Amino acid sequence: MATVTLQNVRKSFGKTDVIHGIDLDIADGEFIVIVGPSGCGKSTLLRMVAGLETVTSGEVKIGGRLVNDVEPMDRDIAMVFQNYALYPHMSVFDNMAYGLKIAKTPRSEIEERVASAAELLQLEPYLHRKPRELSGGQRQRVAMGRAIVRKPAVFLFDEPLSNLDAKLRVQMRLEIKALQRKLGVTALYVTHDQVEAMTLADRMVVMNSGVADQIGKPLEVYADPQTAFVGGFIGSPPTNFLNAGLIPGLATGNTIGIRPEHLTLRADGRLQTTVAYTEALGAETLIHCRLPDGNQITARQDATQRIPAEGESIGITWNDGDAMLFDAGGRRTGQV
Amino acid sequence: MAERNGMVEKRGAGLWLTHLGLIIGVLFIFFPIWLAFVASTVTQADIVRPPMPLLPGDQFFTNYGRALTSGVNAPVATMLLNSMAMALGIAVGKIAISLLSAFAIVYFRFPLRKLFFWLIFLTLMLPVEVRIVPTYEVIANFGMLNSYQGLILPLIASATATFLFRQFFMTVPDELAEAARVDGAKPMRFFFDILLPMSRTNIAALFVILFIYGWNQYLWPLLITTDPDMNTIVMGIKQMFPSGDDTADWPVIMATSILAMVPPVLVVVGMQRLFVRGLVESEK
Ligand SMILES: Nc1ncnc2c1ncn2[C@@H]1O[C@H](COP(=O)(O)OP(=O)(O)OP(=O)(O)O)[C@@H](O)[C@H]1O
Ligand SMILES: [Mg+2]
Repeated sequence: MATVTLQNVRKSFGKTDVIHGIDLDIADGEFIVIVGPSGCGKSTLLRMVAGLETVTSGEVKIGGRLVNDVEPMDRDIAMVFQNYALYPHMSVFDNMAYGLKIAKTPRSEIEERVASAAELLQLEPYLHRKPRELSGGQRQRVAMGRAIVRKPAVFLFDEPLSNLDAKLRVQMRLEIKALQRKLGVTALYVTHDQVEAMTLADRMVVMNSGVADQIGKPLEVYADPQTAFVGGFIGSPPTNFLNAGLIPGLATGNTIGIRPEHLTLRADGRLQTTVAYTEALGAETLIHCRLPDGNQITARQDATQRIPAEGESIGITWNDGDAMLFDAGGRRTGQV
Repeated sequence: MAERNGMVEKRGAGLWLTHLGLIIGVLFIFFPIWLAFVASTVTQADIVRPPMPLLPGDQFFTNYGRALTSGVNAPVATMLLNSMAMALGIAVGKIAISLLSAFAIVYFRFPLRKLFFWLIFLTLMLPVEVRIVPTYEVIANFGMLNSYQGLILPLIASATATFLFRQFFMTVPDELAEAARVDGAKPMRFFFDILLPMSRTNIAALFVILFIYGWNQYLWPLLITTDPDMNTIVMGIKQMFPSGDDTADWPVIMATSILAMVPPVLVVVGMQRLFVRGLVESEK
């Protein structure tokens, strides 16, 4: 258990800058999720904390100790890889025990630690199997077990659930969260799935091409995105962005963002639209409308409300407090 | 699956014809070996008097006993031992060196890495026969004529195996090396604990190929062994042929030929099992 501190961390591969200076303070026992689109540098950032990638400039501290030049094994971390990276020729037991064996842990203690990790992860029946004889979910658990037995101060996860099917992903997500709570270990978790980020994180870091656009509690980030990118990335369906020029009294060039659930369909709306198509999802309905300028806007409403017919002309409206104003550079400038 | 069954399961006349074809093919290949075996079990007189016998005689133990203990120039037992040492030395040495050099080339960044790779690759174009004179010079200067080192060392350096292992190592996911690094494995530990066991199928296949390659060497042993006690079996057979008017001791020569075939066959059969198991067990 330890804090992790990143101070103005940068990374370049040759001449290309990938991470442009990230500051992050992680408290002891906190669950931090790094989320962002593909290629934004999430894995690179995580691998710098792990010590698998050198830091170009800035400082990485774990438990207050500067670890920029410390080997991964001496950083007191454990990592779970996206493809699990289990040793194919070793049994589940040996996979979990390998790190301890190298650390010359006494045999009895190795057995004890592996046994308790196996119990925690319900892996006991599989200890003598090879990874290829396990299902995807079980392999994922073995990878977790390998991390747990080392009793690290920090867990690092790089998209650990992205190879699982949707249902298993939800289940493992809950298990990971419960496990982290139980062990009280600081965790740094990378994903591109914003639902995972919202559900797992104590605080999340939304990354956008090498920059941390916003760091905060999931609901705060959701309710109060600091950039248009964050507003668009977090939330599904994404925030609607309208040219502010459409609304009387606002300067053109700016954008306003409104979440689908904040839009209401009404005959006398602020904007007149045509219903393009609707998606009834059961509990809720998504209504995609076309604006006069050709752009689309999506409203989300309760299944109990009337579903307008496609092609119907309808007004759309929202409360002023729900509209977020962004400047031309995508920075948040306030409410409307 | 269904498609594959359809391909394998031929029925009726087609099946019998295929089998007949295969059986004839096998008999055709096997016939000379059979003749050699028959010749190794009869007396010299039986061989030189036509027609040639087609069924084994009763001289099996005398002929093989004579071959093993006295031979023509050197006892076959000694030559078998020499060949065995040479073939094993070449196979094991080559595998060890190529595993290590492939490991270095794939996993380490060192100055002139590319150059070294191409230098190794270049040796592919220089088989023993091409560099035989300078190699002989070097070995002679080292005083390695008539020694196992002299037989083995010049044949160990080669690129084929290095190249093969390099290709295999490049297919091993990087995350495996990284996971081992996080687990605290130093490079050589990673090599022995993870890379080596993962390569065992490749190693088995290469061992078979290299053992036979070493066993069948002819020109090089001929050149550097002058002492009959250092002769290898393959060159030994050739030297049994009489020069001039001497009569050949055909039963002993044939017994020697059959004996020369046994170890490679055993290696192939023995390794084949390991090989198949490796394939069945193989990852992914
Ligand atoms: N070894 C490398 N050499 C050069 N460029 C690299 C290297 N590793 C990553 N990059 C670049 O750095 C950027 C960030 O990569 P990174 O793997 O961190 O993305 P990511 O956010 O994890 O994406 P994903 O969600 O697809 O895994 C990418 O543009 C990638 O091309
Ligand atoms: Mg990644």
